Order: sequence, then C-alpha cells, then structure tokens
Amino acid sequence: MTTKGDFETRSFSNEVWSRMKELRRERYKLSFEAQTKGGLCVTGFAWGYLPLLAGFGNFGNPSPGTDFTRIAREGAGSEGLVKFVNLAESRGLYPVCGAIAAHLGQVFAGTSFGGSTGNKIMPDFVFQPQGCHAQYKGGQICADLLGLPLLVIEAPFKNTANSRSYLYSQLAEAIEWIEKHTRHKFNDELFIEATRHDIHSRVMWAKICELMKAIPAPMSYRQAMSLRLPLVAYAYSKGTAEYMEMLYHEMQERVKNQISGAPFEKKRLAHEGLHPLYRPDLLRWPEEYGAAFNQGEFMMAFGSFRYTSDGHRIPGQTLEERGIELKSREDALKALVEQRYPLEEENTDYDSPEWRTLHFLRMVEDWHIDGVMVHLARRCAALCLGILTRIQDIRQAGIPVATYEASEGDPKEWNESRVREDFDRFFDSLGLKKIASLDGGDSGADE
Amino acid sequence: MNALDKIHDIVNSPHQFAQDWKLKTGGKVIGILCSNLPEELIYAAGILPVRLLGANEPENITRSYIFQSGFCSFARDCFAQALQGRYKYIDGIIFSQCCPHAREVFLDWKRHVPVNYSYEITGPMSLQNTYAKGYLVRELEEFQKSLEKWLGTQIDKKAIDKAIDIHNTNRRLMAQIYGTLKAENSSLSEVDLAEIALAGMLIDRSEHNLLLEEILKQISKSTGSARTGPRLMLLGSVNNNMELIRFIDSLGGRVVVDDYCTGYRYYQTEVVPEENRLAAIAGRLINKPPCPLHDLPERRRVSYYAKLVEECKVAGVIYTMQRQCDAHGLDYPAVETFFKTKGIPILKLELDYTVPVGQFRTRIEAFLEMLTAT
Repeated sequence: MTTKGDFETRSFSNEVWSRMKELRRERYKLSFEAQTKGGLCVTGFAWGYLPLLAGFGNFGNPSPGTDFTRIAREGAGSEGLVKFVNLAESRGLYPVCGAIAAHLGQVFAGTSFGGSTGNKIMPDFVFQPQGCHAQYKGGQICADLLGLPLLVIEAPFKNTANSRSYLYSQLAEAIEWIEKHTRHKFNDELFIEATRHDIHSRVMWAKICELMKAIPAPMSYRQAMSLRLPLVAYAYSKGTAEYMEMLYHEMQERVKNQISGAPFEKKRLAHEGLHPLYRPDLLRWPEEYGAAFNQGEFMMAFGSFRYTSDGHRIPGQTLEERGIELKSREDALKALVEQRYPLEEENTDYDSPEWRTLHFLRMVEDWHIDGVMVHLARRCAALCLGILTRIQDIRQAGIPVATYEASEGDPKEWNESRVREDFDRFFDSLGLKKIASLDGGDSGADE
Repeated sequence: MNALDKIHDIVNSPHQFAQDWKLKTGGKVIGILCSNLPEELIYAAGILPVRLLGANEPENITRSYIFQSGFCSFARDCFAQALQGRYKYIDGIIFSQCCPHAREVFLDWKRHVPVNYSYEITGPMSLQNTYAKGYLVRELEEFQKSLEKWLGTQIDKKAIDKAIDIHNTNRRLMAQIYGTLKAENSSLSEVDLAEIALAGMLIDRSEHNLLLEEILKQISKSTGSARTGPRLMLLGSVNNNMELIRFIDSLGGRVVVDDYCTGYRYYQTEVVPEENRLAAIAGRLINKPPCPLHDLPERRRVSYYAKLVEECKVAGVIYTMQRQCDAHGLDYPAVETFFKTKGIPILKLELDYTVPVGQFRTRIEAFLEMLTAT
C-alpha cells in the first residue's frame, strides 16, 4: 500500500516478532520431540487447562494437527483445508462445522501428527477440555480413530459454586487419570509454575487489548492474530509470560508515540465471530477503505478479563496483583478454576444472549468502535447461537452492523465476490471510499 | 372411542389436551425441549410438562431469528410454532443442557415469545464423569427452588414419590407396549407405537397410563397379525414425523424398535429409589441410554444398540437425521461402523420439515429389497 496514511505506522520490533516466532517454533518442536524425550504428547481441539499437562513436564500438543496453520493458508488449494474437509465428509461426517471437519480429515489422512518434517508421532491420549459440543464429539472421533483414551473436562456456562466445585473435582481427577493411563508422574512444582505463567500471560494479553482503546490503536486485529499466537497453546510457558510483558511494554511505547497498527482509522471496526481461517487477509480489507478492524470477541478470547457491575470489560489481575502465592497443587487448581469463574462474577451466565450483547455493546463503547462486521459461520451452531438477535440489538443501539456468510474452516463455503460485495456495501454505508489495494496479499507482519 | 383412536386424536391435535387440561384444572403447562430432564420434579409441582415439537410444515417465519444455515430444521420448525402462536397456552419453558440447536430455540423463545417462567438446567454433558451426578443433583436443587419460588409453594417428598411412581409405571407399561413390536404377530404397528409414545409427551402421564392399560387389555384379547418384511430399527435425530414412519410401513418395512428421544429412548430406565429424591431422579438421567451429545467419553450407545439388535432381531437400520443436526452427524460414522461389523446394513436419510416422498421412496424400497434378498 503506498497511500500516505493519517497515522504513523511502524513495524513491531524485531525483538517482538523474533520472540513470537521462536516461541511458535519451540512449541511446534515440542509436538514432535517431547514424546521421544520421555514427555507426554496429547491432542484434542481446544486449549484449556494446559498447565495441568505442563505438570507432567514438557509435553507435545499437536492440536489440531501439526500443519493446521499451513494447511489453512492453502485454503482451497490441493493440499488445503478443502481436501481434508472433503475427506471427513466422505467418511460420513456431515453436517459438521468446517474447522472440526478439517481437523478430523487430517486425522483420517494420517497427516495430523506427522506434518512436513516426515516424523510420525502418536499422542498418548486425546485431551478435550471445555469446548463446544462439536469439539467434544470431534475429540471422541479422534480417540476412536487413533485408538486412544479420551479425557473430557467440562466447564458449565454458569459461574456458580456448583460449577467451580465440578471443575475443580474434574481437574484434580484428571491428574490421577493421566498418571494411570500414561505412567507419567505429576510434579506439583511444575504445575504451580505453569499455572502462574498461564495466568500472567493471559492477564498481560488483556492489558494489551485494553491499550487498543487508544486512538489510533497501536495494533490491528490482523497483527494481533499473529502476535498473540504463543498465548493460544503455550500460555503456560515462562517464555510466553515474558514475551507478553515485552509486547505490552512495546504497545505502551506505541501508544505514547501515537504509532498505529493501521495507516488509517477513518472508521474503527469490530469483527464479530471467528474469521475464515483460510482467509486471514479479510481482516485487513477495511484498510483498503481507510478503516481498520481494531477489536472483536475473538481478539480478546484468550485473555483474562473481569467485568464491572455495569458490564465493562477490564483486565484481570495477576496473582501478584491479587496478593496470591501458589504453594500447593490445590492452590494452583483453585487458581485455574477461579480464572475460569472469578468469584466476584458469581451467578453470571457467560453464554446468555443478554450477557453477550451487553458486553459487546460495552466493547463498542469502550474501544470506540464505529461499526461491526459479523461472520455468520455456516454449520457452526455454537458460534451462531443467538446471533441474529444480537445483531438486532446492536442495530437498535444505533451501531452500524453488517454480515457475511462463510465458514471458519470449510473453504467450499467461501464465495469471494459475494463476501467482497457484503464488505463493500458495508464500507459504503459508513461513507468510506476505496483508497488503496492490498494487492491480494496478506501478512501478519507489518508492511 | 377406543384408546388407540384417542391416542390418534391427541397426536393429530397436539395442543388440545394441554389446553383442555389447563381450563379444567387451572394448572400450569410448561414446554420442554429435551427428554433429558427431571420430569418427575416438574410433575410433582403440579405442572403439566409437554414436549415442544415442530409441525413438519414448511415455514419462513424464523429467518429473522435463527440463522438458517446454522441450525437444524427441527429447531426452526419448533420455534416457528411459537411465532405462529400455537403454544400461546404454555406458561413457561425449560431447557436442559443438550444441543445448541435446541438451546437456540429456548433462547429465542424467551426473548421473542415471552413466557411467565423459563429455566435452563445446566446439566453435565459428559454423563459418565465421576462427578456428573453430584453436580446434577445440586443443579436440580436450584431448579426445585426456582420452581417453588415461581409457584409460591413447596414441592414435598410425597409429591415427588407419587410423580416417580406414575412415571415408572408409565415406563413399565411402555416397555410392554414396545415389546409387542418384537413379536412375530403384533396387534400394533410402528405407527401406532410412535403415536402412543408421542402422546405420552403431550398429556398427563397418569392419563397416558390409563390409555396404555386399555391398549394392553385390547392386545391381550387379540392374536394380532403376522407382520412381514425386514425387521428394522429406526434411530437418529429427534423425529416426530408420523408421515415418515407411515411411509416406511407402507413400503413393507417392519419397524421393531427405535432409538428416538421422542420414542423408545424417552421411556427407558426407571427411577431407582434413594433417600435423596433428587439424587434418584438424577441417577435415572445419568444412567438412561444417552443421546450422542451425552455419550462421552466412552461410546455407550453402541452397547445399548447391541442389546436392542439382539432382543429385537434387527436386520436393517434406518438412520434419520434432521438437516444441520451435527450431533447425530458427528456420531454417524461410529454408529455405521458398529452396525456394519454386525453385518447389519444401514441407510441414512436426511430429514427436513417435510418428507421428500419421491427420493425416500426410491431409497427405502431399494434398501428393503436388498434386505429381503440377503
């Protein structure tokens, strides 16, 4: 893009990018090496309570498949997601959400745990914590296919003493289950340390998201999808906790110096829903119109937040900030449970439409959002629960909102011209004009 | 009018009984969206629970509320009935944790067709979990408090015991009724059975018991007629489409058992008494044959199917799935593998609001011919 922007943009530092890539590589290597070096290897689809696994030492976690990201980028290509979705469908898995089908297709193909290195690994078990119904059942299918035991941990939607007790009991039992099924011994010290790092990493991400309230936002949504990568499946590592601190400090500098993630913010936009994984460039389409995606529920998804009594989202607190020291396994289990169910939010139903709408409207207000683009993900009941009502509420609140239909994981549902038209119409309704072209490329790196 | 005629009337006018009951008793009617909930507790509160169903008619009224490409046809059909005012008589709705499609109906109903009372029982998904029962019991305690607050009355142990007794009796009677389908000579067809099963979800259970006793008396006086045709099992998504069952029957298929949550599975497993009545009710919900979403982490449905196959001498399976039903979609490969290893052919049909007669005729006829030939 060669048009001069309203704001100064600058690459994130080499330190930040390099460190993110190192952590990504480190975790990727663990997927292959941990088991051969005597550690655990688990798979599943959803990344919750990983500190528990870290209590067994270094572990590999090729979820959802060692090459998923690369395959996602291939999209509809010959080795892309569509190949694996088709394979899953040919085995009778229909209708199934695109992401689950893509993952299971790789398992069917035998490529899920080998990847481009040619090494073959076989996980010790399938770990399926806290996810949607399709993830639970997808985990079961994976376990069937591979002949592996399945460990399911569920965390109910409502924040109640009963839910906390249920989750705590399951996590405590999971340790014994893993010991029994794998003969690995649990190490409380490693678990405590991993829990501390996990909480710290997530709180730091929440603080980073808070900095996005600045005008201009120091990071775009697209950049965030890359820069927060270690948080997704490696939050429990010391490296990630330190990286998040590094990123946070850099974000603070960028805010101070008015460095923007995108060259223009004629309109600040939110993306609601998980974007099509095979088209991350979509998150930069607003830049062609002098706007930017600055926020969205998925951007904040892996952070640790709290909520004020009137619905505003604020960063959670680190253990140090809460004056809590973890001294035992029980302390760490309790900390993980309270990260999921903060005590001050007792009786909250995190999945109720009212809660979701209220917090969305607060997000729009607090992050100065001018419009919302909603992805209606076909075949994904979990993501689309109550979505049309939520859209009505957003509209009634006077916030411009538009939708596009596709699938987060199945490129067959992608219709470029139709989606482009939906976006163009939305931008037009916001009074925006096309000012540049991204030249068809995408990069999570700064340009 | 004999009992079967009454059953037929109930199913054909699914709202009538509840409306009449309300006028007669002054009681409250609650719509329920899943068979996996503590009906005994609701009944003990003096409430009539009725299963919320679709009408198997095309509709376009839900498109402003429910994302059409994300949710199953049954969910949309069900909510369409609410929007059309066909459930105006219900005082409340209850949802018990199952699939997001049913949950969408619950959430939209609460919001757009307001009722006096609504409650979501956040039960466990993984029923095999060591702590699932304890968790569920505490959820039921909260649910009971909620009902009592709404009604302004206490639900005592005596009422719960009576409700359990009526429901257990109902299950025993239904087991006998279903047993007739397995016999070589049967006085009841699967259409009769499907209607009998569905009627139980629409009327007072004690009245259903009276009808069942009458039917069993009639059957005992009859030798029945020999039913021919390959012995079939029907299973899959929630399905209250009598036309489909009638259709299979007309093509020569002999259905001997089903695993629908609006059919046989609904009546499975009695409540085993415990000092803590809620624990007893929870125990039944935990131990009854599960739907796919609750069948975690081990697949217990297949061992249940193995039992049914043996008891009912099943020769073929028709797996009917609502359009967009990912719960059954995700389970299908495992179910198919199970039946194939048993040498039992399986036919998968995708349902929608209405039965695509032409397409289904071809496929079902071919399937039955294949079964007859082997």
